[in-house]
Amino acid sequence: MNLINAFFSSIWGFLNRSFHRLGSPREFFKISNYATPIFGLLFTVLTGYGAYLGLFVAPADYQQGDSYRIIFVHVPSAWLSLFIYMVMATASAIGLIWRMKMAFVVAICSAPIGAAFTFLALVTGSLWGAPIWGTWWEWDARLTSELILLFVYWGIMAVYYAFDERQTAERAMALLAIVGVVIVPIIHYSVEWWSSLHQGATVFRDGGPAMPASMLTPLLLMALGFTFFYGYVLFLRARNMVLDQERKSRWVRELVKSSRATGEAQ
Amino acid sequence: MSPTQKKRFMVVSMIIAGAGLAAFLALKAVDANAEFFITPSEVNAGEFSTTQRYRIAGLVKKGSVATQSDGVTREFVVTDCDYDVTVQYTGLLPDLFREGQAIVAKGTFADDDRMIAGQVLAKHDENYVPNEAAETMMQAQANKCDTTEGPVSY
Amino acid sequence: MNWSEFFAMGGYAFYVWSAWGLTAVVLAYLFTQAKLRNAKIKAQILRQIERESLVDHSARATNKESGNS
Repeated sequence: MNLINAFFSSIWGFLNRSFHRLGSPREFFKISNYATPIFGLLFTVLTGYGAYLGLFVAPADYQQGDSYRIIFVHVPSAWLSLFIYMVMATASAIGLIWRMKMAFVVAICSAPIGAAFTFLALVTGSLWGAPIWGTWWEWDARLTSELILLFVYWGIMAVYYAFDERQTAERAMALLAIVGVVIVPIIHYSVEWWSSLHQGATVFRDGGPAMPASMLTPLLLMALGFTFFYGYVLFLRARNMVLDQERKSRWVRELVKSSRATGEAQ
Repeated sequence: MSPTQKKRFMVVSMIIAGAGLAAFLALKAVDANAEFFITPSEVNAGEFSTTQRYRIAGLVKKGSVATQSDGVTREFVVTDCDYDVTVQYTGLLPDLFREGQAIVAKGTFADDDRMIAGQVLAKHDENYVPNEAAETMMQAQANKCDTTEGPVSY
Repeated sequence: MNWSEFFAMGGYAFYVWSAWGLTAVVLAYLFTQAKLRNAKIKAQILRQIERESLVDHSARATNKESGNS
């Protein structure tokens, strides 16, 4: 019992320490120095291999033929549109409760990336629906709720940029992000709660994925790769925001001067 | 957590709960409108006006597709393996249209309960299968109503 | 492997390649935008540092002159 307690308290202690370290912009910058290129590399390798398998190796579908290969960009984009929202809402809550600078940075920098993936999910879905369903767009529950998600992302970005005062902007944006989180379960369950043109879940469903490994592997690789891409661009954006916000501080000035001297990109 | 943080935590939780409740009530209100289609069983059970447009979805019944003499008007039966609805449609059909395929037809009901459709969409399912198995899969789909008790979901 | 067959995508070439191409474009845009912004911020900060050091020097220079006279 004591051992278990000690185990959990040491994990909790570790999380707590990393949480506080990440909370400081300067510490974040140090950690992201290592994390950013690793995320970029993982994205390149996973997505590259996933795209190769998806386009060249995976067999055509029995009824949709080669058109189903859109799934390898459509589904990861759609998953990411929800995943990024959850990250953004969680970071917003942390920012509001603990008044943590970096949490707001993560939330704000996530919004445009999430919006981009939502846009991709909608447009690639439309390009898939046109030949297979016979329509570019229908107002069914899944498509409509995903479109609302795009507007929520845009609303959050608009609220942030509408305020001049940084603290007000951060808190208003975080509040909207938290309120908007209700859209996530609605999108996820929209194909179960109502009849829809969009089919049900293929991968996360009772009885396991309704897809052979030859198609599932590239799909999961692409999804994982896209997740690392999100992390990669999030780090790049967050670093930019930290530089911008801390431009008066000594460490940022030293850093910028030394990066000019060495000709380093970041 | 400090008392202030606890208070803020409570406020954030309340906001989420409030937003969730609001969304729940809003969805309750639009519930029927959020349905994309009705099934042949629902058509059979309910009263439908002949002036309003509806979407019905069902499997294209085996052996029911007939082309009329003009060559572009087709008549076929959609079924949920319990009840059937006859659909008449003039125009281009989606690539996936065939026996056993789930489709969505939008149109008005004629006096004899047939649907005169202005649009036919294919509604494919969540299963992806390599095309080597195409024959078997399509056979199984076309014969679905012979092997399964209705009403089936799609 | 037959390349023209591969690019034809069983007749769905337009849809498949538009979807993949658009995805590539959007990802590239997100990446490029972040990189350009980084260069811009750094340039701004460097300009600021230079401006301040110029102000510093000229302030010191005037002090000297006034001290000499």
